[in-house]
Amino acid sequence: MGVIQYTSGNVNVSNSTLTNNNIGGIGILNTDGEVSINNSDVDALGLAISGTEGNVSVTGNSVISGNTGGIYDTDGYVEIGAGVEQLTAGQVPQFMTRKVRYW
Amino acid sequence: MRATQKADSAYLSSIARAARRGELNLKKTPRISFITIFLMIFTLFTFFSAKSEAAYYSTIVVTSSGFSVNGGTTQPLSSLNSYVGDPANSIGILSFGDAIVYPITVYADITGSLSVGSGTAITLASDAGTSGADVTVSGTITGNVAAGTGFVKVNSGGTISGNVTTTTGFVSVDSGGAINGKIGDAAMSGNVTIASSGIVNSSAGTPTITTTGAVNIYGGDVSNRKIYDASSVSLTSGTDLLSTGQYAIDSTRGNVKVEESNVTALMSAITGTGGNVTVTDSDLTVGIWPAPIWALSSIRQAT
Repeated sequence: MGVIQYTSGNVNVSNSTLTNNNIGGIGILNTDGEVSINNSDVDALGLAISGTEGNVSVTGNSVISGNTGGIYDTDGYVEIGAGVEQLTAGQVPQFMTRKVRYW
Repeated sequence: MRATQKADSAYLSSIARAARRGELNLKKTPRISFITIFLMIFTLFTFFSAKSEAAYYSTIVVTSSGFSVNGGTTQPLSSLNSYVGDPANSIGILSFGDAIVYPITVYADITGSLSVGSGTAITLASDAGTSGADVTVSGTITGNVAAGTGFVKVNSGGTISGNVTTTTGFVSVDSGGAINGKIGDAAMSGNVTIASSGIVNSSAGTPTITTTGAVNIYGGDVSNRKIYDASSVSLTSGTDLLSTGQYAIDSTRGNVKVEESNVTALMSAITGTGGNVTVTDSDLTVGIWPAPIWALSSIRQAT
């Protein structure tokens, strides 16, 4: 389950905090459109972001923190800004996608 | 055989003599029963005939010093019950002024408008229909309000302790107003607006706000369950949406906007959105969250 989940359109998060304290819980789950995160923290005990059909853009001083992984199962591009901090527990990969672009 | 016939004859003769002396009530008993039954039926007929005499009053205005019917002379509050206390009656406009200190329970239907002034408390009985009426509350209404196409407006300081539903009418809670019950149901399409410091607190186990209309909360407190099935949801200016259920904002057909607000739930803050989700300057938390004491109390009551 995600803090924000099953969205047909886009998800835009700015200057905010999304926290999922459930074991295996996800920050943003299953979005049909694009996900844009700016100057925000996404903190989850599971994945940070998963199941996005559109692009994912993380910018500003955002922190993407997922205990079991960062951004997974994204059909579109994942774009990470220079000031973005990525935290994962152990050696789990940050991304499970083929289209990562760093700004 | 002859002896038996003789005995029977003597027995019948003794019964006949007893009947002539009036010692038998073979005829009186059924006559009394018939009269009794007739009187009972007559009484019941009279009773129900009297109850079914429905009366319509276009306007009843109630103040702390008395009331008037259709602009007539002022009558004492002690006589009010004969008008508002009969479920067969209907009233177009029923207006209660400020600071009426008198126990009032409304059983009559209200078809046009119901208003309750500041400092006045009334009870709406379950018989009291308000479908189509505009309801404005600055005092207190205890009981469910079903306004149909009419609106329900809770002004500052006003309280409705009961569930509120409409079909197409809007529901609004001004700053300092409160609805201690759920808003809406599957048939409601009216919009819901809650101003800063407005409070909506449903009983556990039911969604707090259910409407296919728009839900706009400007800094109000909505607690216990969720916002369900709305055409759009907007939380702004310090709104606290606290769901003790799995979801906080569930099955919104259009867009969801959360701005300068907090949303908490057990499993998902925003789920099943048909449009876009925009979160700005806000905290969305699911799972273990720092529940305030009053919320923990409501959870304990629910369990």
